[in-house]
Amino acid sequence: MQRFSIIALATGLFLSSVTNVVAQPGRDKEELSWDRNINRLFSRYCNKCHNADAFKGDVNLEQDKDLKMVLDHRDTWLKVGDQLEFGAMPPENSRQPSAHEAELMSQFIDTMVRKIECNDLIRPGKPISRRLNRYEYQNTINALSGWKVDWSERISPDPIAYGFDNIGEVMALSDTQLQQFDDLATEIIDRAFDNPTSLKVDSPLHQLIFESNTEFATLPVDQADALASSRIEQFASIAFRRPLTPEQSTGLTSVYLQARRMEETPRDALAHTIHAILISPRFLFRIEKSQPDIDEPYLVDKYDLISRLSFFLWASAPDSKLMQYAATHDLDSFEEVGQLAEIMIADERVRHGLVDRFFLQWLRLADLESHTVDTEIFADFDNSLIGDMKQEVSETILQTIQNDGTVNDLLSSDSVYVTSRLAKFYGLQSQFSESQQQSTSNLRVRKIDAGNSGRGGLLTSAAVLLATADPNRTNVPRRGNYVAGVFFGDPPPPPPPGVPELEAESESGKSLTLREKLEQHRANPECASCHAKMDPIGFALENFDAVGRWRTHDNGKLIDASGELVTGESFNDTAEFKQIVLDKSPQITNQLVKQMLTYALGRGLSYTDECTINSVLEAYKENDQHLSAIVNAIVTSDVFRYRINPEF
Amino acid sequence: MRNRPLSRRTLLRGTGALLSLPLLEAMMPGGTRSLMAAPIKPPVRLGFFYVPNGVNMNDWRVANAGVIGELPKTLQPLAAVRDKITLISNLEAEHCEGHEAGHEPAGGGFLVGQRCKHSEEPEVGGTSIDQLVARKIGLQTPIESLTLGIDPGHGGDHGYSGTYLSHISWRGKRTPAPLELNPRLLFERLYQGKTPARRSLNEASGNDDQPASPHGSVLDYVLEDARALQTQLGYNDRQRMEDYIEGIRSVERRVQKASQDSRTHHEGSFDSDPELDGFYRTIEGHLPKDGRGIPDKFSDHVDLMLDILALAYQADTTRISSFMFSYEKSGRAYKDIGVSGAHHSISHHGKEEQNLNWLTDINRHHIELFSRFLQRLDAIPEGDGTLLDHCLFLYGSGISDGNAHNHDDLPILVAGRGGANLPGNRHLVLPDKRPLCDVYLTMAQCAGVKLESFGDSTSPLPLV
Repeated sequence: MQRFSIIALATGLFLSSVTNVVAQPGRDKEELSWDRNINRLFSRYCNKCHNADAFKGDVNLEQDKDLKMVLDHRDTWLKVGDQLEFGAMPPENSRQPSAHEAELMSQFIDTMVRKIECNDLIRPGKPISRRLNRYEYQNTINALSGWKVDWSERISPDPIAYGFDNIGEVMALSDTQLQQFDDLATEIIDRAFDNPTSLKVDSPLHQLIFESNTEFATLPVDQADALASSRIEQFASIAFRRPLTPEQSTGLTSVYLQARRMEETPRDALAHTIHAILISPRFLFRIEKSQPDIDEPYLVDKYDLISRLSFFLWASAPDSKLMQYAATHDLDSFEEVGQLAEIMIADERVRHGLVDRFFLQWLRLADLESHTVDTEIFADFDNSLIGDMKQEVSETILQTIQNDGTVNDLLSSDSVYVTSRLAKFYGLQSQFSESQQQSTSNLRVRKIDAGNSGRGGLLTSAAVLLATADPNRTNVPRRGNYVAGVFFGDPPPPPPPGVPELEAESESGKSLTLREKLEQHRANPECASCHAKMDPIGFALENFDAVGRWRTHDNGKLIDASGELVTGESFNDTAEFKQIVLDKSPQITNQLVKQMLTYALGRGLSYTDECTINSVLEAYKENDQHLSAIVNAIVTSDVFRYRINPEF
Repeated sequence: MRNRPLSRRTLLRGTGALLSLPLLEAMMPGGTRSLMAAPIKPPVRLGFFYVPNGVNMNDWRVANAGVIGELPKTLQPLAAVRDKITLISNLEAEHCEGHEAGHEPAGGGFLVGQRCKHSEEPEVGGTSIDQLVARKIGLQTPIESLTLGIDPGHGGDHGYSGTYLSHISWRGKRTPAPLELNPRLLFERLYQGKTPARRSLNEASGNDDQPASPHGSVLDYVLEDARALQTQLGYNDRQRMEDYIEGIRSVERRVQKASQDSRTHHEGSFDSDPELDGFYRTIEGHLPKDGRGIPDKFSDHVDLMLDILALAYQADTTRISSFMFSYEKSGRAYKDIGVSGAHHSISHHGKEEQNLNWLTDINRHHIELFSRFLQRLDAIPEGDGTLLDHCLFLYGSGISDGNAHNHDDLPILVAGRGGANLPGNRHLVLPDKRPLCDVYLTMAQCAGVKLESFGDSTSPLPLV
């Protein structure tokens, strides 16, 4: 009840709060007014380069005409603030603001952009019905049947936004896909009817098909029909993820009866009805219930909340146990949601959900299998190792999340999760016994001590090192770009058009090493600012070759993995670099939270989500930096549990 | 063990065909040619073929305008069909210019002709030319259009959605047309286990009444339910349900049009095609039976996809397609042809000889595969010529030199005669830079679609 009063209050304040966020300072602070002063300063000193045409550094400030737009592009403006503070912008050769003006510009960003009023206002974001993506479809079908079939290959790849394939705004449906789903329905039903014993006992399809079939044989026809319709209703409520309305029940029963009238057997009529369920929009889309006549955000319907949890954590529809849970609980307090989430995080299904679909997409490792290795250069490289590498990453994440590990544990660790093949690749085979190295057990992942192999954690995992290399050689800028973008959340802008060429030889005719070439490249000011961000990171990882194997020499030359990051920290080798990365873990955690929230909500974030991000980070700190605390804080947040009516 | 006398699958596939066929015709042996009117002109088919990362222009360029003398190294594999090739120089795709990003808008905007929005939620500004044409003429065939590819693509970079890299076909300004990558599933979706036959263009297009069938009532039910659902939804969701309803209609249409594909209907419509059945069976034989249904080798995968496409054109299953040899910025390794390294890295060749040679090898490999497809079409008699004579394909990239990411001086060629006696073996050098969209305009008009302008087009190109 208390919740409601807060909402009512917040809603009452809705208009005033919005204006509050974008309020203009009063007369006494006229110098900080966007309209009166600040806009003019940025136009004068910044917009010559940062406009729609020049678009220097991938930044356009000119487009932001008012404070609302500035806040819409908050991330960009925060970077502007950093640049001003470091004195990095405007560049030396252009017009400079006076000290006072520069101070005003910085102050504006600090007071008007950086600070966000976090009040009780809940802003759940625009709701949209989302199609299941191909992995959610696959996991859902497998949950309904107990099979382990790779259905995802049979569906066109889903569009990707913000790096993820579950963003509601872009998850539309086309003719081709619907035909694919129609074909799949036929295939699934044929498979189930042809081989009902392949269905897991107690799975919804088993109950519907196997048990019905057994009973059909013994029942008179009219009783068989009655049995069928009650079983159909039961199955459909799992498939549609909520109890059926009487109209929906009647509708499905009529599909069944119509088929029976066409002289189909109860069994075939059942098949047609399942087909109708599997191509129904209620199955293919996640359609949440609206509450007509309510203008403010409201707690999402409990069945929809169960679906949100299930798709976020398991990348799958809720199973019958969860549906049962929803039927018997209110799920209207965040404590209750948090408890349920804990149970779900401990479940094995997190592996194919949060781990494979969120973490691996965040780390850009989801399609690692498609990485090709030049086998002429790496003749002894076994392609099946790639699967083991990916497994190491999945296992590391899973164990960290389920056993109270931290973000630091994720990045760097004393132990590794490896198959005996991968252990050998890491030079750690001595920890596997002879018999473990042989035969089938070499596919089993075991936790072993990383020793002084330099392994342990994501940063020096073979998977990451392989994914960021070319088939035939390491790619220093790419590795740097990866770490800066994925972990630090600070990717360099794309290379400018007409990239100047790397000279293969110096003026004296001596052929250049890669390091020399890149140094030459950085001598060019146009390239320097970005490569200074990327190259030192890439060089820190040069002790790992293009397949992620440890090496001390490249082309006969001793590898020099020392360097200095653009932010000033210097290091002598990979180990020291790893330590620097660990020191940056608050920044990395911030990035992780943003990405996970994007995935959890299935939408891009806006500046109003900053409050949720901060409270999640707060919860992380308060809970001994357990990775699972981030997940828990997200599912118990208001944005995750609330909804607002769409525009009609 | 099946207890059911007739599998549901067979029933689904069978009923439509059996019930909608006029009984007498169905039972008649072949040779109804005499009853038919004179052959009519075969339809024009369009296709758009994309290669990523630009090409090595040194080995693509032809020096002189007019009749092509010696083919440059990359284009040599086209020798067998050179009479049906037109090379076009001086085309630009200004709309492919991104904000300091060379690849994303080059792929995403290639067939659209508008500027891509710099955003994680893709927005290309309009419908791509293939989808636009498909909307006008696609309803005449069981499948409106095909959007095919080889690689799934990747996550994107620099604040651009990865979808820009992997999709050239767009159903709307924010909706990419889904890519089909898996030949086995594509084949099953198109033919559902039924040998296709060319459709008679002389026939009135059957009646629209679905025969009563259980599957029909399944579709009726979901349609009705979607309509009911729609009334409860917000504006955007209603739009989504509209897409769904359109999708269900396409499922119906597929069954219905496919059932008109009867062997007896096509006899004598235009040239008989004793090879069609053989071609179908050959492809069926090549489909990988196990695992994912995708061949391991790149060239096998491309060949199979293009064979299915050739069959779809031949059987008039569809008249429009787009095909991506790989996604833009692809780092695919072409080790089968002895190229070491990743395509994208190589395309930033830095004028190094090794890289340029490799790049040519990759470009030439794509052309080889394309040429094989063209030759296949050219061997199929149709009307007063070959199937290729009634095709008009565009092949090229949204980037010229991968090292510079420039979007003018694009490598573009047109294949086929478009049913209009395009002379071929010619190098058309445009006096001034012209937008790529001018070619699209010409192609659409060739296919009988009245289009005044498209994207940043100025006027149709004088191809003929």
